[in-house]
Amino acid sequence: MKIKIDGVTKRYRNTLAADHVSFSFESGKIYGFVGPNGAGKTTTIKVMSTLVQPDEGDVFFDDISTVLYPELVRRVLGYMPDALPSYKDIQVWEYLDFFARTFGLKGEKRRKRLADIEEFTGLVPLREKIIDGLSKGMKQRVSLARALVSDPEVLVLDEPAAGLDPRARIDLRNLLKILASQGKAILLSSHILSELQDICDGAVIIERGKVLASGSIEEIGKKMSPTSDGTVVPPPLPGETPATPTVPVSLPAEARYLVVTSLGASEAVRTKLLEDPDVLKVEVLTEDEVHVTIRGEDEQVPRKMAPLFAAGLPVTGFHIRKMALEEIFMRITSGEVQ
Amino acid sequence: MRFTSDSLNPVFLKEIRQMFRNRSVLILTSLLLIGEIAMLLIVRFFADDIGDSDELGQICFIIQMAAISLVILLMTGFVQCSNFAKERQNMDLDYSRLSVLTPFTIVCGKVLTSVAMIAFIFSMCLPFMFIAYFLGGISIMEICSIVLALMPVYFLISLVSVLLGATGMKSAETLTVLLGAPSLLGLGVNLAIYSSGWRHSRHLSYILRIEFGILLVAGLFFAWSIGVLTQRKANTMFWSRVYILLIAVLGPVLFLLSRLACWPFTHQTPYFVYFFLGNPMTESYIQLCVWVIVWTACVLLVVAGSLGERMEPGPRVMAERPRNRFLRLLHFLCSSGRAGALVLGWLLFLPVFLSLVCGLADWSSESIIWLLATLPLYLLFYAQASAILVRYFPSLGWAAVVIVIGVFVVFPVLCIALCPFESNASERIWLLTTPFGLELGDPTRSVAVSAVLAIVSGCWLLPYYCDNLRRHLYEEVPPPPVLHKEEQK
Repeated sequence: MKIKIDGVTKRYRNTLAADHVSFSFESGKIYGFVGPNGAGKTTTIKVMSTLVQPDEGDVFFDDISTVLYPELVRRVLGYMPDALPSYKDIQVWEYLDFFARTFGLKGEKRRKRLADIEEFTGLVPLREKIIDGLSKGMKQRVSLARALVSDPEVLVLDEPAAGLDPRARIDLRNLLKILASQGKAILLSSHILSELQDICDGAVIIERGKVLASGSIEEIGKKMSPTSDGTVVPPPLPGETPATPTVPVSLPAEARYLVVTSLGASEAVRTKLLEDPDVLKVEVLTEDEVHVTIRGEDEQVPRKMAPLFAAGLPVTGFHIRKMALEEIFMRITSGEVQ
Repeated sequence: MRFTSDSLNPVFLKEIRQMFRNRSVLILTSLLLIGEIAMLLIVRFFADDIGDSDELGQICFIIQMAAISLVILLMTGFVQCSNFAKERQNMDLDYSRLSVLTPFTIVCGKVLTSVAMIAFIFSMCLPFMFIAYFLGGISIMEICSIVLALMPVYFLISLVSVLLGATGMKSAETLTVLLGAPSLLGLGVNLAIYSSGWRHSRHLSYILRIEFGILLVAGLFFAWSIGVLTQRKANTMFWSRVYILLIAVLGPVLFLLSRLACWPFTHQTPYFVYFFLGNPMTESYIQLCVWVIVWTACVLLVVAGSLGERMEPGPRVMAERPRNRFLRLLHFLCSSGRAGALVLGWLLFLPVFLSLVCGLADWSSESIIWLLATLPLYLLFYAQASAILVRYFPSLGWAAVVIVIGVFVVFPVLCIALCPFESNASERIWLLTTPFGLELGDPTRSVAVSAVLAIVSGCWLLPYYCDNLRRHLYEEVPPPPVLHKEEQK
């Protein structure tokens, strides 16, 4: 199944929460939905979940409009909101049983489905407990179980890892990986970018209601490197503030960033590298490490590095520097809130 | 509770499970039982001081009913409304809507829960009622008739609670109790007093009519609750309009049925007709008056409701049109969208208007009837005038209604209040666009003025009505898509 968010716009009084938001994701993949607070993530997710009607645009589940046929879309959608269930007088199994009934699951099929879900989410020991008495992590599990009750093809999770301890996060990550391997399309909004990096196949970055970038993390990394005026912002050095480069350098879009390590021969490496006209910039970081900006595709990199070895320099290695999601996020967003 | 039927309403099942675990419900029912036992002990040991021992049972029963009514008011009115409002505020209800659950099912579940709680309270108090009967002073039939007479009032309170809870507003439960308590006191006490004279068939006929009226209002609250829970831009007005249309049709149908039922009995009114409608031979004027009031209320509800609606029905409403053309026509009249509402308003009003104009009834001296006839006309005029404004200035929205009311009602009234005119004629001219200028002595002129205003604005909007109707009837409805994998198989 392919889910396409097409120009979704939503305004709350004077605030433009989502401004022509467009991106897409598909079955078997986990997509991260990233943005600062107030960026419009929850609004977009609520539009996808048919809870909020967009002022403009639409969300299509295999070409079926959520605006026109929300009832159809709800059958294939599992939504885990950021708010946790707050019933004071209902047990876990009763809560899940209620949601299973709302999807029309009957008899043995419902009981089996609920048993599977409780097993999968680790809720079996908690099934007789009152929901309000559960810890936050356990409530998150109940919320995930609720989203999975109907065995949805699409899962939309709004900040599922917020407030979870490290073990619960790892558990959640594993659960999501299993779900994705079962062919579900998963959109995951989170602030914990390092965790998204590990499990996400792609990401959507949103700020002030606008999508700034979308695609696989590598694609975004490649796309975002050249700034809009054609200059390239090199990846930040450790400890450096990445948002604004000190000296923007005019570089073509196909530039690559390399890290070359040697045994105390950084200056010699620099001199040798600058002989190549495709090497655009070399920065000596330490005696052992230089950062190189080079024109060309990934496949050309080893050939460009060959002269270093031919010259007998004590080079211990080199690698192409990929941008982490956190880095991309910091680079691409300005941190402004609406 | 663990192995319950699959056909049970899921909301009802969840609510019942919650109710029996709710601390407030447990406290209230315990207090009720303790109160009942205490009352019987007091009556038993202080019977001589209370007075006539023949009326002991009656006194006991009245105290019981008061206690039961209070508990029902608190349980179905306060506790349930509070739970529902919290569910809306916390978005819990919205999350349960991400399923195949419809607003209709949710409201049904909530109302069924209230009915079940009322039944539970009465079944709990049944032994004490029997004790009251054995104490004397009240018969089984009186007990039954009083209980039955109070049922619609309890039902109305439950629906007020559901409606206010559905809005999710803060203090909805307090508002329910504030509204429920007077209605329980006023209607309930009156009905109970009337019911105690149940042996007189005339009393019973009055009670039945009042209860019928209460149930009509309760039905409207039910339809509104569904509308409140329906998503914006969906067909929010559908159930309310269907209900109003049914009520409007019910009047003439009942009237005709009563006439038909009387036809073979030229000298005697059949018993059931007399019970439900009074004597159609001698009371036809009163019946007509009642139904004119009901119809006017229907028109006012439809037209007033249209003021808050968008001009066009919206793609979602258009997508759910039925295939059959006749059903599409009904769908046009009952669906959200101002054109349908105003056309329905006119259709509901025309029979009353024509019967007045054609002089089918001799109502020339009854100013109240003329007032009822002109009010919908003025409202139609205001609604249509605001629709015209919105057509030319779409950004106005709600402001159009405010402008129209301001220009045609508030401004003339203020002018009259601030600078009084010397002659009545001048005042009347200023008040032409308001219902306050009605000349009760000369109803024809009032109707003529209001009718001209409504008809002129209606004619202006006629192309808009026709275009909406044409689109509704003739635009192709795309076949509903298939999404679910199982359905595709």
